[in-house]
Amino acid sequence: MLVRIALGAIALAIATTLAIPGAVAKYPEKTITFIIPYKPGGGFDTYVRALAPIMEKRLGVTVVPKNIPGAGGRKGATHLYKSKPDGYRISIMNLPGKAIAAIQGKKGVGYDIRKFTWLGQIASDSYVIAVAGKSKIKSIADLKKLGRVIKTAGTGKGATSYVVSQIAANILGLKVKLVTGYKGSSGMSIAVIRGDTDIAFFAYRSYSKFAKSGDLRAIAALDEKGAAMLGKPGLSKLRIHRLVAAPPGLPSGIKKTLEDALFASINDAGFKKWAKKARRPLAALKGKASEKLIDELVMFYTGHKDKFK
Amino acid sequence: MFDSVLLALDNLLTVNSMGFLVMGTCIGLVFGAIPGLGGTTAIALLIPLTFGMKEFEAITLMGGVMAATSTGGSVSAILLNTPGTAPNAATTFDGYPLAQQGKAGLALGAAATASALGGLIGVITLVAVIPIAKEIVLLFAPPEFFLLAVFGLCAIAVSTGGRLLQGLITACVGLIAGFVGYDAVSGEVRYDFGIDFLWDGVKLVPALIGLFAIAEMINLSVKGGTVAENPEMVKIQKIFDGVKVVFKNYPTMLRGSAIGTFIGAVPGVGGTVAAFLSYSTQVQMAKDPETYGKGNILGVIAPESANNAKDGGSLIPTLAFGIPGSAETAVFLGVLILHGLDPGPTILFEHEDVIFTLILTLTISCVLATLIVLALARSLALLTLIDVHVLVPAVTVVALVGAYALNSEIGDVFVALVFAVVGYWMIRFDYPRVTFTIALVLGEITERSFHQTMLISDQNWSIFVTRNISIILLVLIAASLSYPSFRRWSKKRRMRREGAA
Repeated sequence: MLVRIALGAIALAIATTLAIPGAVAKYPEKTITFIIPYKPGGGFDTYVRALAPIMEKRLGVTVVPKNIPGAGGRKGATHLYKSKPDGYRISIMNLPGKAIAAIQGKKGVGYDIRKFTWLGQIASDSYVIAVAGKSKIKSIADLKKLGRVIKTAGTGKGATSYVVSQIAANILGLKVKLVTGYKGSSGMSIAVIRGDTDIAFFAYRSYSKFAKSGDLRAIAALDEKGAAMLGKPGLSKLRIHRLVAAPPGLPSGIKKTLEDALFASINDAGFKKWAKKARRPLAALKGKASEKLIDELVMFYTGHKDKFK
Repeated sequence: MFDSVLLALDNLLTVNSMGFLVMGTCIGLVFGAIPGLGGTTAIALLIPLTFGMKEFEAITLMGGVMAATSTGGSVSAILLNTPGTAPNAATTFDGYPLAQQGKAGLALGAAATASALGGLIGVITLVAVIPIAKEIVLLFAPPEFFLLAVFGLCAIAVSTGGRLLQGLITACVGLIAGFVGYDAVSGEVRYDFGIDFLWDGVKLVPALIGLFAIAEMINLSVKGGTVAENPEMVKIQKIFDGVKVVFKNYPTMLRGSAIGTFIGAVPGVGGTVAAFLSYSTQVQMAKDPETYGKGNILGVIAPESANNAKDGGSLIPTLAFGIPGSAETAVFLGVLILHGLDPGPTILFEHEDVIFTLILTLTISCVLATLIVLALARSLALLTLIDVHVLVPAVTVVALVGAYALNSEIGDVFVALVFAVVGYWMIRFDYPRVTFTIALVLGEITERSFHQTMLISDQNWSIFVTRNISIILLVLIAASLSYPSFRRWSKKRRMRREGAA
């Protein structure tokens, strides 16, 4: 008798265990890992670390930021791409940097940018072309007058700075050579101030701090107004985008929960107050709008693909 | 400026701030001493805790951690042959042989004292150079980085301990290991064998944990006994001698601090390189280079004064341009941003009190950390008397957990295990591990700065001889390479003359 009860209990236990995947599992019920594909301390790191505690309140579970640096952000992106689409792993992603493989039509990078499940955009910023504060160069025309290849500073081939400089130079008809290996936008600003290179492309926010101290000076802004002034409105499509992605094939219910929590957190009064005080631009987008944006941008970048060897 | 110092003192001299400072120092010591965990990990883990704090309280906590980690790291470098943090790697070369000779107390005392003095010199220099901070940061460009790295690599020649061929072989292997992973210049991943894990390269700390700590544990378990080769010889009362020896050899300490401060001030070079350059300079200038790597106390003082001085130095680019000079300052600036400050080139004008709070915190914390280590040194040194049957499993577990904890990545544990086997065979067949480590540390920066230099100069090699600092560095390299031959020649001449007389 006892044996039968025990057997029955075991059978019941097995039945319920098996039944769980079939039933609508409660989501979220455990810690969510928010991947940052760069080292601690940079711009992407700060956005995630400021956002995580706010998302935590919305979702009711712990959100842990985790740095997975390596290969210029490619390692973290690949890690996410291969993760289980269960909603417990999401990552901040940058565009255009992460689109480089799609532009070059390269295989074996480990991920396909268009296949991620996009949850939304946190922020976006326009670019400026800047020279050292002391430089004599005042405009794009001055650069062209130099009559030589213009050196520009970048973090690495495959990074956002590479994509932006190649496409912008192509549109502006400039011949540029990228000097790579600088660490982040701070390394690039030192390179320009020190005179390693003539120019560098900076996101407006990273540039503005150095403009205030007079160390850097913009010779062209690539926002809508600036691009129109240069007569090349297409340039304003070159922006840095900070997006959030989940692995491909995330179930739509989980996607909706995460997407809504992310969108609400970016629009949270506390987060907005922080962003204003720390002078971080915000541009919240939902998942669908982000997907559309990425499709458009990849099309736009790919139009210049002969500039990427 | 004086107002800000007073304001900073006012911020600091509260029960809360002092409490956070002591807490930060203790956390820094522990995180520094556990291999794998380091200052950046500690600061990153503490970030959520600071959300509820006032700005300057968060700064005292973080500053306490920053100043204490490399002091804590020296303890495991000396006692267990494992650098607690990467900048302590050079300390193992002479620190551990001293522990083996039963002089762990002396080494701990010297390391702690050198740390405090180095830290103080770094901070004092920082305050002194504020007016010319920008010029200092801009002084070094890629051509100089390259020559500095070559200068460091030259130390391989004198660090082989008389086994030149073996030293060169391990150095080459070290360079190759340093090239694994993503190359920012070309944008390609190299030598990854199709393993995603290797995209980030062979990380220094797991490699050193294997090469030094676990390899040593294998060696000990084969040999049996204790770390100290002759337990009766152990004199733990020597701690105060260690303090004295630093003051007696103040040129070494001052040189180490100067190197640490200046390398710290150069963005993109880092504390590990600073400690190695300090060690190699010491060996190259020594009259008895053959005694290094075998337990020369100066080989402990040089890197330990440098790796603490770099904390002050790494704030020079922060004051000048609002950019980090080390991994720790990078995370620290991140904390400031999270607290709504916006560090930039104008940080000194906008947040002078913040900066001075940090400077005062670093000063107090580096002295406090040293006092704690000195107070505990006697008990810590007893580690060298523990029987291998207890020590080996304990250290191996801590070392492997440390390797894992660095990035919560199991691949790092495998790296440590692979290097453990390599390290053990190197001990068995008497191949120097120091040369391997120097090459592994300097390989990446050598290559990167060379490529950058060539891109900047349009493949024109004359860039190395048309810049003032480059020329000075070239002269230093030539001098360091010819000095041993010159010394041999003059020794021979003296002997001949004495023989004639």
